[in-house]
Amino acid sequence: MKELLFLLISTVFISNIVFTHLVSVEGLLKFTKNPKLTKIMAKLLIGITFISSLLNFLLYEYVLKALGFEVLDTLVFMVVIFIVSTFAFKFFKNKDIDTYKEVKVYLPFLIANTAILFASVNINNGLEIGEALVTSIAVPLGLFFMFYLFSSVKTRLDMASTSKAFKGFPILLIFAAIAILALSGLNGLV
Amino acid sequence: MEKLDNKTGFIKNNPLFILFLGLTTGLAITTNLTNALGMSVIVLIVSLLGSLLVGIFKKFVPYEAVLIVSLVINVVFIKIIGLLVSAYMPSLGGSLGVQITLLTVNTLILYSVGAFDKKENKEIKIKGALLNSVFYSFALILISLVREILGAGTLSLINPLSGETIFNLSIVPSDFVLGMFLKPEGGFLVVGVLAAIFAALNFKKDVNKEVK
Repeated sequence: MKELLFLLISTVFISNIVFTHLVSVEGLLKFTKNPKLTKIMAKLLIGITFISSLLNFLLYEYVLKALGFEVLDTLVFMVVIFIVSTFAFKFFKNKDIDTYKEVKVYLPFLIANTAILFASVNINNGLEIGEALVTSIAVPLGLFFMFYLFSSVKTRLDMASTSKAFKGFPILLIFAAIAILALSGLNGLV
Repeated sequence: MEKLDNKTGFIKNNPLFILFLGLTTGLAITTNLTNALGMSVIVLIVSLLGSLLVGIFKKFVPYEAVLIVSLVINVVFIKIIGLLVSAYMPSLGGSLGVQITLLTVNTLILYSVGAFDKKENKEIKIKGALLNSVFYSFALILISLVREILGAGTLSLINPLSGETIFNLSIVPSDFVLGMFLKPEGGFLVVGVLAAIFAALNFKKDVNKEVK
């Protein structure tokens, strides 16, 4: 139990997938344009990552491995991600059609988000079922943490007098560099 | 998003520094020149083959299915290339690691093959794919040059097939190198600064145009 708790903390904060494997940086830059968009995108991304990584773990472990089709792993992961995303978008469309129309342009970029695929690849790296469950929860939590961090900083940076060339994404990337340096201070925690 | 409709160039609308496409790859594998060159070749091959196939499929596949068709085509090519790389270039395969798999959802490749195109746009975009991947490759090489020189102090190129060193220059004495540049934070810093430089160059170009 203790190990699983350590795994949760280290996956969320210390070896956060965004900062250690640099996935989803694009999403973090593009989806934090305004608070409303960030909220919707973060919710969708987290939901899709959680469901698809868990499904992919079960599929890989109990179907692909049993049949000896490990070579098809990425193909299966990608199709599962696409199906889960499509269902998530349908659900979201039925719930709130006006907002759906507003954010429609960004949705293909959500499917093409590296974090979702990485979560599926990562979970099949020889984890036990308990560890896989914890990882499937911890990775989306880590993503949520990053979205919160990036959108907060973005809101503050919009008010700051940044020089013209750095305005927008470049200054956010510099912030990310400093944030990693700061978070690496947590290395000794677990 | 609105910028995606414009044509890409090396300085104007650079795919990596201005449009921020394929940023994960740009940050993760650019620790040395060999990786950047290897990745550039893979991106070039996948974009060219993908754009040809997706262009053909687009003619008879419904618009809603274009993205998944492009993804599946990407997966197939990348899996084959990934297996070939790990068989014949194990050192390159080792250092690129999971990033080869993650190329499946690299937005630069998906954009080049036409997965994000509008409904009316049904042409085969081989020229566009070639230009996009060449500009992207230049950007990758530029980042890797800065990171390798500042982070390791050397500039070296290794033949991934045979493993022999083609050249190895020592540029910065080892006492003055900053290991930070080889880590993720260095990647963010270098890409951030280069993106700002490219943005500044773009402003200058726009101003010159207005004056003329």
